[in-house]
Amino acid sequence: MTGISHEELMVQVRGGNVAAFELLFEQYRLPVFNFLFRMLNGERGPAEELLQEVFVKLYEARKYYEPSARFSTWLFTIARNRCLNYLASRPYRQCRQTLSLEAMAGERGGQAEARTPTDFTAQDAGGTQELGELLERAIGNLPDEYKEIFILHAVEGFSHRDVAGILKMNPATVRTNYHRARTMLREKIGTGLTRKGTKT
Amino acid sequence: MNCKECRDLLSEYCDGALDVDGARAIKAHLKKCPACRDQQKLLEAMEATARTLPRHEPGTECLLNTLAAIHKNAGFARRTEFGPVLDFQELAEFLRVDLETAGKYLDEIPSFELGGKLLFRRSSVEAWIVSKETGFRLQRWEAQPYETSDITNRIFISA
Repeated sequence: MTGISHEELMVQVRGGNVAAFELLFEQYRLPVFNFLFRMLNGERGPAEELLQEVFVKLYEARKYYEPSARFSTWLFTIARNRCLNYLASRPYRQCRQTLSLEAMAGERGGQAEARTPTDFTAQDAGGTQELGELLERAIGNLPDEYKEIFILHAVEGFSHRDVAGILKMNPATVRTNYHRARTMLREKIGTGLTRKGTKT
Repeated sequence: MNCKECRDLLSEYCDGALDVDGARAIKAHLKKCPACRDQQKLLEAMEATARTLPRHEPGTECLLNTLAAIHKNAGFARRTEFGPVLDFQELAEFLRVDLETAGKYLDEIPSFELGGKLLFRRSSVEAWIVSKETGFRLQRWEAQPYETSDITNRIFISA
């Protein structure tokens, strides 16, 4: 199916082509799942349920798809809305308080010990895996409005303009919030670096 | 510029989003402050790490359930059983293509009209499929009845 854009595939879905839909599902199940998984701080069950809802919703809304809109932007708009609805409807918001680092380590099949950001040293900056674990944890502790921007841009690779399209926000606001998110993450991860580094 | 001011603007600085004066002030501060340089390195390492965070896989059961839900809830469950006569919609489902694609082959696929409706005998469609597979031309005018299992013996002439 090389050479066929995702937008063209979605047009075929609109015409009733099931195979085209399955191809889009194959291409996007991972990015959408990872977005949901991180937005829900590593809660696998709800993320899997939302993944199913997102793709069913996508098919149900196929007749409203306009090829002028980027397919990925359209899909992630649906995913983001379903995710926010889910978060808003939850009676308890415990998963938004603290990321379960053990759960993330379990996902990786590793036995990584939980370490606090204050243990971070300048030497650790070169250790990608450890920094990754600290980053996952710090992302989980971001407020949702910053978390979604950081995940979409820095993790999933959307441009600021595409993120603005997904969130229905001004690109300048997206950029500003992205820098705030990054600053918050740096502060969370870098606390120990500041303590152990050269005094200013 | 002090360290707090520098760190508040580090993200913008790394992205080249500051004006000339702002960038110059940060650069001067970084030159003399190792702690803020460490923060800059951390920011850059963080950015690179974000792009390589592990990809989590949804479970197999989740994937199967999702596909089943898509088929069922959206009303396009794949049919595997069809009657001896198909209408146009069923023909497209039978061939696993959309209506537009099926329409392109209407001149080739054997059909008949009844009550103003275009219909297709399933066995004739199967014969047409075999003709596409083998490259043999379908002898459409031969109106003798045939068994589906015997189609290759009865309805082809060489191309």
